[in-house]
Amino acid sequence: MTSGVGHFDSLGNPCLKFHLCGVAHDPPGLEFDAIIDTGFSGFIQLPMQHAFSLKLPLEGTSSYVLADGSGGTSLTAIGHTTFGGKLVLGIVNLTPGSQDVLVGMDFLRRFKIGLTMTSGRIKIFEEESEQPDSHRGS
Amino acid sequence: MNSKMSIDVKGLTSPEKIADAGELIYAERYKGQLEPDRRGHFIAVDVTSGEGYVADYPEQALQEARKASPYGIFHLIRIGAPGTFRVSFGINRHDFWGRPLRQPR
Repeated sequence: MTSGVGHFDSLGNPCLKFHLCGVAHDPPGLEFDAIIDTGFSGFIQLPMQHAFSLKLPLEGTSSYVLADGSGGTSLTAIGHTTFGGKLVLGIVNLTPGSQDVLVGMDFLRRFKIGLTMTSGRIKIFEEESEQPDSHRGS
Repeated sequence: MNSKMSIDVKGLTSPEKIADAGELIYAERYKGQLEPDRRGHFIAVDVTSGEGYVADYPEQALQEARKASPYGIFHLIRIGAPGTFRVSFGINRHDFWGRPLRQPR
């Protein structure tokens, strides 16, 4: 079953739209256009400044590691996220130094969706069965 | 997991210091116990108490931790991994706090 379609941005990055809600708005909250980054293992990465307008409740910190092995610290919040008519609670990394909104592999897991990407089109599919624990691979 | 300890929260003046405190607690109290069997799972370490909350998924660990400790400050760790999350896109070489990124472990 097709859940929706994504799109490519002006730089050719695959993107989708979702809504995120902190405590400042009623669900579904504000709409964001995010890059689908399968190299990001988390749920949502959001530039810091959006946390103020959303009033995201901070939980603490987490660490991230880049492909070259270096890393850093990001603040961690929990936000109500709506995509394809489904609402889930997920971890939002408020990562400094980036202006890009990203959705990662954990976003696909939580919403139980998969992607088919061709040169001109992105299809987003709902999974029909439970997600295996394959995301735990190193 | 019951591991009471006392942390001076006045010293937690930046996200880096919260993360460092969480990593230190994890290394001293949980790493040896968890890494053989819970690799790839997540632990939310309350840096105000030293308590750790382990779950299969990150949002579960944080929700369990917040439920048990409403005033806690949590550092989230992926057990056995070099970072909680892998990132491949769009982060500058230097972070918001104006400090160089940590070197590879």
